Amino acid sequence: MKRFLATIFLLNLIYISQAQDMTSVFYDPRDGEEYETVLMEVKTDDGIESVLEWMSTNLNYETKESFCYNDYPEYCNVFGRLYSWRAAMEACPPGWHLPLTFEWELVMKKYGGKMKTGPAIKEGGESGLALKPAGFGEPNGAYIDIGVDGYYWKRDTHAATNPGTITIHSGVDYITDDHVDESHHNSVRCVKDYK
Amino acid sequence: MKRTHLLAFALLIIYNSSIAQLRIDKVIPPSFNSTALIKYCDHPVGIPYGIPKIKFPIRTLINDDLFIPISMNYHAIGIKVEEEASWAGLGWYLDAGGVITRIIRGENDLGIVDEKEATNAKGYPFEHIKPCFEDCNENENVEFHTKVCAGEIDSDPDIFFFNILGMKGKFFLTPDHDPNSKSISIEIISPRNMTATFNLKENSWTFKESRGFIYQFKTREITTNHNYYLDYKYESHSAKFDHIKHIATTSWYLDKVVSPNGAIASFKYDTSVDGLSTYISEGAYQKMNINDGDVWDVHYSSYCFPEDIENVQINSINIHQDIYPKSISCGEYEATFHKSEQEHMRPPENISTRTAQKQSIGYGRQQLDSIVVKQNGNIIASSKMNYSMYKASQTESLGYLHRRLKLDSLTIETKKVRKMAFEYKITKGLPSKESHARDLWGFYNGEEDPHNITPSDFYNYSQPENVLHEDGKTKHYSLENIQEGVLSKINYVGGRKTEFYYDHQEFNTVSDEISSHYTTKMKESNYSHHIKPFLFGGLRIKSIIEHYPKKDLYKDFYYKINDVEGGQLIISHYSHDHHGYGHKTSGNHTVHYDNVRIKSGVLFNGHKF
Repeated sequence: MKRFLATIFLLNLIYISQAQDMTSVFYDPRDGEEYETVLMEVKTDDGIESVLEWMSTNLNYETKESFCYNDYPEYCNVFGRLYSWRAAMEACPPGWHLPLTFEWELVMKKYGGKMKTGPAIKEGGESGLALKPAGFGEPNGAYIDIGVDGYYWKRDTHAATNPGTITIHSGVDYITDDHVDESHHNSVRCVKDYK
Repeated sequence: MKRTHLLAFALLIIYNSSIAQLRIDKVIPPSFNSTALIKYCDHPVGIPYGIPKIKFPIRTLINDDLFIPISMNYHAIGIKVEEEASWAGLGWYLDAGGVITRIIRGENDLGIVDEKEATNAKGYPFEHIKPCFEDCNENENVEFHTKVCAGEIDSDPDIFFFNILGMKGKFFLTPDHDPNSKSISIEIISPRNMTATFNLKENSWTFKESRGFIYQFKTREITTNHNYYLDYKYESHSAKFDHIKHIATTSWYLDKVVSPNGAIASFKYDTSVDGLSTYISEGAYQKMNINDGDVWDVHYSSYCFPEDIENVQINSINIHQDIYPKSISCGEYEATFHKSEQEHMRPPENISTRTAQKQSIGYGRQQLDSIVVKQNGNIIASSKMNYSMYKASQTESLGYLHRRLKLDSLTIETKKVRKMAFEYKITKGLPSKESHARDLWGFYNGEEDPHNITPSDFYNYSQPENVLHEDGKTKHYSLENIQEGVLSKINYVGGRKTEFYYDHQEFNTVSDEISSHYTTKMKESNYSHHIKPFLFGGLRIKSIIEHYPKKDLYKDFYYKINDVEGGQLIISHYSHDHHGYGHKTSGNHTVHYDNVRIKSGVLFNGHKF
């Protein structure tokens, strides 16, 4: 892991010098969709500093097994699409990936840990990540929790196939970090590759 | 500076100066369409500024590593009295390509290229005048003012604003350039590292980005500024009249982009063979009556009066040769823009126009009707705009003083169709663009007092420091009136509706970057009225309610942290590396909120859960 992070550090030195306002825009060449991004400075337990570029809006790229809440397109325009686990693993555009567990942990650590990080990573928070309470979908077509909770897919490694989620909750500061049933349909954020 | 001091100073100048030449509020604004960019640079949108991001992407044109986004954007800080509607409607801005525009303040900083007869341009790059950055004490002296009035030096730097494919910022020319150079270079450090170079021979700009992108701006928008001056003599009932005319380039439009991989995008505009526009529009008056002690909140150095001044009326008219985008070519993609003349903006035949230049039929102020995007000749996206005119609060004789274009609906058709209809808060109607009923920040306050002397709030960038709250003045702020004409609801075809609720901007602390002079004066006037947190001009978002077919969602915005207002007054950021020439008073202030708590949930039977 140390070697991995050191690589991030070196590759991101260029970013640090360019990231004056720490935000940018990415245009998905697959459909021209525009995503705002945030360049986030993080620090490991070993003191290694790095910059991760995260999308600051939920992915809204149409794939098989991706859905709009209540199957109503306007929800997608506001909250992005809800992806099955299988779809989520392949949904991010080339050069981007589904966030890894350690990448979420770096963010949470920066903003006070799992019990306190909620306000910082939700919309309006200082991180700029602006996670939205997009709810989730069930395989039977039911949709639950929009406006209240937001469920974001993650994986342990690039090769891992077991699903995990980060959940934000309305009205509380803590977040939930869990391994869950892959049958749910959740939101996707993407992180830019380092190499 | 208190009013009495101001008058005494003005009288001193008059006494000391035998110069009878009139120099009045020398501000030349850009065209109605370019001006729409300015509020995005002074008051950035986004939750940290209390301004919701309201953006409708139309299509991004892609050619290898080059991306040209096209989108419609709304800025919800409020409508200023002098504010003109862009060609996409009041408060709306079409992001498509790029422009560099400027407010000319005092002398034309690029006068050497605009005024061919000028042998010695007086602008900033050429006269090494230290701008008034701190509390202006250094420049508040008779010698400085005499030189300004004699036209020997410049009182204020022009402010340049840019938008390059959505990257927005502002800068001014610091007085540390070589006057013999054939070009002027400015290091831009945000939002990205770029070198901006002005070519004096070509009167054009080139921006080179550190990532390798090159942006060329050559198509120019020209503004002709007429200043009319009338001094009425009480005893003799006679009048003195004077007229000064200036012609200047106020905007440069993006013509070409080259990417690091060599991909090219080309931009065409509706111009005649000489490269200039035959479309003409007239800006609203900037009007003042200076007749007694009512002169206040005036950046004094902009005013130089003849010796025997008694009762002066000043009118300023700006005639713009408007530039309109025609097409963008980017690889396989081509976007075309279609427009028509706005109705009712032309003066009636029986009223003599104040415009010195006649507008040909069809060549007056235009509105954007539609955009069509093709890929390899096939239509892949289109958008259509429908408009009407805002209700005006007064009888309309001269349309361009009262009428403002209102975007009623927007249809974006790609693989799917999105149609949005817009509602705005309209009760009494919007005031005349000449109305003096403005608060300290230029927003409408409902106080129609003809003696409320108001300089060009929108453009002169003087800060209302020591008179934020002063007894007996009619420049107070009114939340109800600021909201007039502001977007209140979006209705989407399919049943979704978005409602916006606003509050006023507030702040509790002042950035160290702002001069202590300003802070002290502001606190004195506010503390004496027990006002804290302090008010700031314009609106911030309070609540957004989303109505979906089967569910209503809400978002409430909280700007207080531990019951203390979290806003901080800052100088909206300049983009250039200013080499030690700070910018403490040369620019607009805005409020930044480090943390905004958003409470979201479900709305059920009017209750928030």
